[in-house]
Parts: sequence; structure tokens; C-alpha cells
Amino acid sequence: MDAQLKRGLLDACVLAILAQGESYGYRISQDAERVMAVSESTLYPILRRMEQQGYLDTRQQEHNGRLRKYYRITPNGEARLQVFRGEWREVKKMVDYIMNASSAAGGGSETDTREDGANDPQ
Amino acid sequence: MTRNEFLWSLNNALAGLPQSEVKRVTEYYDELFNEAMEEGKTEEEVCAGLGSPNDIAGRVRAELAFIRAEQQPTPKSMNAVLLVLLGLFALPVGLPLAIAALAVLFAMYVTVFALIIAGGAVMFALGVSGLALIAGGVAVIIGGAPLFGIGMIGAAFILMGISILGGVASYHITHVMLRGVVKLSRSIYDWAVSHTKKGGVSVEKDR
Repeated sequence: MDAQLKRGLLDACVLAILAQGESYGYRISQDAERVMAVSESTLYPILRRMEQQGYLDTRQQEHNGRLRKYYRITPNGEARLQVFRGEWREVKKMVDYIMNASSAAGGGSETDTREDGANDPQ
Repeated sequence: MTRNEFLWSLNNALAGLPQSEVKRVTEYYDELFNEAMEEGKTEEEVCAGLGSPNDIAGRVRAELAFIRAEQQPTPKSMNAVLLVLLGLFALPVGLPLAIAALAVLFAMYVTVFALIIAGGAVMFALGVSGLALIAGGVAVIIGGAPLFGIGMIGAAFILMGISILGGVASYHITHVMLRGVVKLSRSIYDWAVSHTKKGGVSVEKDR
């Protein structure tokens, strides 16, 4: 996949993960891996960058006798995520069309998901 | 590789970055080891999943350089970006492509800095002309032509006003342009890194 496209998607994924509640490095990477091919070495720089951009903040809490660093989404981060969702609603429509057009020869059942998908809050 | 070897290599590969940044990175990966090992993974398994400490360090360095330069495009932060891009030569990406990308970027840097200097020179010249006109106007007033002298001083203030406004405008314009250069640098970096076959750099496994 195009590197820049992937970067944008990965950023949004991390924001979406943290929008569900604060989390820590290991769990974020496990959650992210469920949706995207992402390595641990990619995730840290993203978290650090978004922290510097003011999209995330962190706090440390003790766990099993050591410190665990929790990441939390800030109001700025929420706003960024909303902007992203708005921008990608349009893209999603196009991608859905492309995917359905290529499978149209196989069967028409998937065409119905296009309208549903457009109203999907995600 | 053991946990200690990994963290030690990572620490070494980050040399030169501010101590606080190095600490953050090593703490983060130390925590990953703790979490993964609490789930029953061995040190070797965790190391294998993390990839090479050098790649991680390179990625962190690049990210910090880009974000600093985007937020504060000073000559120092721009230099850091240039260094990151020069570091791309170390990657096994096709050399001609890397040279082409760098040439484009270098041209952009030169253009932007030339524009900064040209803009600065014009605004400086306007400011100096304004000062000269004030001095001239004062001389003319003393010389016995007060109306003409006052006219000259008025013109001087107009020139200096333009100079200040132009200075502020060109400051903002150059900031926007420098941010553009940083964005382009980031794209070139992403592109180059994603075209290398080494693991752990950008997104190594496409499922």
C-alpha cells in the first residue's frame, strides 16, 4: 500500500483505538495488529508524534510493581479523528463502489452494502 | 538477542538525541518486554517481533526531526531533516532513485532559502530607504523647505510601513513554504523506507 496512505490510516487507527478508552503500549499494538499490519517499531514513533502534536497525553501508573505508561486521547485528538472520519466518508463511498464493481459479475448481493456503508458512523 | 542486548543496542543507536527522548524510547520498549513476558513470551521471541534496534532508532530520529521542523522550521531543525534524508543513502533503495529524490529536495531547499534572502533584502532596502528619506526630510526642513521636508518624511513612513508589513508577510510565507518542504521530505522518506525490503522499518508485513 502507498506509504503515505498507510501513515494516515495508521494515525486514525491509533486515535480510534484510544477513543475507546486509555490504553498502554503493548495493548495498543495488539489492538492495532488486529486491523493493520503494524510493527512495534512503527507504533512508538506514531505515539510520540501524536503526543507532540497534542492529540494524546500520557500518565504513568503502577502495575505489578513497575510503571506502565498509559496513553489517552485529548480533545484535539478527538477533533482530529472527527476530521478524519469526515474526509474518509467520501473515500469509503468510492472504495465501496470499486470493490462492488469488480465483484458485480459474481453476484449482486454485495451492492446493497454500499448504501448501508455510507451511513455507517465509523 | 537478549533483552539487555536489545535495550543496550537501542540506547547506543539513539546517541545524539536529547537524553529525555532516549529515556522515553528505552522505557517504552522495556515496558513492552515486561508486558510480553508476563504473557509468557521469551526474550528471544519479543526481540524477534521488535525487529532491529537500529531500524527503530532510525525511525524515531526521523519522526522527531520531521515533527520539530514542522512545528518550528528553523535552520537547525531543517538541517536535522536534511540529515535524516541523507541517511536514506544507507538504505538498500536504488541509488539513482535516491539521488533523484534528493536532487529535487535540494532544489526546493535552495529555492526557499533564496526566496527568504531575496525577500529579506527587499524589505531591508525599503526600511533603509525610509530611514534615509527621514534624514533627508529633516535636512530639507532645516534647509528652509518645511513642506517638502514633511512630504519626504511622510513618504518615508509609508516605505517603512510597507517594509514591516512585507517583513511579517514574508516571514509567514516562508514558514508555510518550509512546512511544505518538510512534508515533501517526509513523503520522500516514507517512500524510500517503504521501498526497502528490510523488516521493521515502516510496515514490513503486508498481509
